[in-house]
Amino acid sequence: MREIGLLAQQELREAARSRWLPAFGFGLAFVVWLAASAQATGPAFGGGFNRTTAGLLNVVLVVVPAFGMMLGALRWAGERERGALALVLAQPVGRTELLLATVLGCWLGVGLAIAFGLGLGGALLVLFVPLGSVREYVFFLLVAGALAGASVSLGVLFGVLGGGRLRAFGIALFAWLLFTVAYDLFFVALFAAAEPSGRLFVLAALGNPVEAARVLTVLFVQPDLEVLGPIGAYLRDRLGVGAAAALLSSALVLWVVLPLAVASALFRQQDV
Amino acid sequence: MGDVILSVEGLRKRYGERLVLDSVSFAVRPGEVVAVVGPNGAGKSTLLRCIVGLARYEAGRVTIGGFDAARQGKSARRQLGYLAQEPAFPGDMTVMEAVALFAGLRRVERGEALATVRELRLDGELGKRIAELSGGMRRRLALAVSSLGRPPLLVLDEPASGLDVALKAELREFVRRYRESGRSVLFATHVLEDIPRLADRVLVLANGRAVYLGPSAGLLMGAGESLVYVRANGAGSRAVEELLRAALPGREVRRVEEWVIVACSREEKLRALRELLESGVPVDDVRTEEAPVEEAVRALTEGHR
Repeated sequence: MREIGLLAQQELREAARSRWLPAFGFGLAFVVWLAASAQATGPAFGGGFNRTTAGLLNVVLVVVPAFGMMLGALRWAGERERGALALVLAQPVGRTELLLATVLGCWLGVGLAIAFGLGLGGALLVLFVPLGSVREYVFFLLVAGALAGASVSLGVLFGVLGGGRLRAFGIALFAWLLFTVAYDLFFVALFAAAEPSGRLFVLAALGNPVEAARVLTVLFVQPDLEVLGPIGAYLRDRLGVGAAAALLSSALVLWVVLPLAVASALFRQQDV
Repeated sequence: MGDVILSVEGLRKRYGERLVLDSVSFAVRPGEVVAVVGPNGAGKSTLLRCIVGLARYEAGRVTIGGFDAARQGKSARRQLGYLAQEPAFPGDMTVMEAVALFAGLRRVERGEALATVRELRLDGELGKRIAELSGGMRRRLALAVSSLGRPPLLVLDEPASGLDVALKAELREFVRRYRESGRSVLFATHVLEDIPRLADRVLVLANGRAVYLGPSAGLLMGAGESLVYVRANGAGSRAVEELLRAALPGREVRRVEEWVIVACSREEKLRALRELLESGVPVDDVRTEEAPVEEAVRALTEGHR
């Protein structure tokens, strides 16, 4: 555990030093400010946190996976390409410990940037909208953090798979497109072509961390049928909000753990 | 296993179809310095990387301080320090951060870590970023990190590569002190001039196979030849030439100005010098030159390419 802590701390320090993480945090804060000020001047003024959260959700679902996957993939593959992994692994450090520390450090970095961006944005939001539904906004922040964990874990797996930075970047880019664009299109086409079964709805919700995070947030923030979509509506109607949320939360946790487990199994067979 | 710090038995490793290590076996005893030499692609770095746990092997066993490197990797690596051929530090850290991180990973007290830093004269660089250090300083830092906690075995991959003359001398001194403290050093090198000065034993690899394992002096005696130079004046030099021809039949004896030169084996050298001494022929000077290590290694590895 001590080794994991030390290495995760080092990862976090590196993340904080990089220009990308502060840029990501400030970028998020700016987007929240834009959303809030638009709400304050537009006809929808008075919608409160929930309305802003719903608007921000789409941005977060695109930006957080992109940043998390790229960071995880490039950190791992980059350090490996430079030979720095070899120096660390020549110490009394296990390979799984190093993977875990990398995921934890990067996750913490992205998590802090999200907390900063959305937190600062939330604080600014209070200037424009009435202080209501803060609980949902905090929940949204937590889901964004969990999605960041899943994205970083996937990114590190892509780093292990890719070997070099370029290949790792390519895999991460492909996966991001798959999770954020192609996945939805695939299921839209599937539902249009055939009568969707309940099992297919569940699979669609759990088989993609981005979708799981979307449905989970909407369940809490605005659980009406229009926003939830058919997948969320099915889960809410069949399981109820609580059970559906538990299932989706577990899926997000699995999306952190499983890529890490696969990465560990693969990396144990590789030369460094 | 108490008398051996490192034991390598039947190590075999492939990269795809290519066999890069073929049943390599050897051991390193406490207080011993062993050099691994061989031509490029012989498998020197791969052997060291297998020992450290960075490369997987398909057969064989590596034991470090009694711990199986494959099954008890962390405990085994606690027994060794490793200096890579081109060491790279994670991220963009300062010297102090690197020392703190690696001392933490090796569970070495801060005071002890700083003593190692001082020994390698890095204490003035602690606040600098590693990226700002010169190549030699960076290598010195990597050596400091690898020797944190004074592990019983140091594994150095081409430690002298890229170092200037002064740093090379410092490195030799560091290895000498390390051995004197009862610890062991295993190093891969192609700076063969270091071998007689540093190594107690030599492992010569050729095409992934161990073709020689023994004392560094034996490497020179077994494969190389000596050059004998005798200087004599006037008629003396003719007498020396004739005497050497008679003592060493089949050997080419040459005269270059006042020097008579002959290349011969160690036994022949002793015989020639004895006969020269007993003959009473007046000579001004006698010099011998051992065969260069390169020659000895080349002779050993030539048939295995």
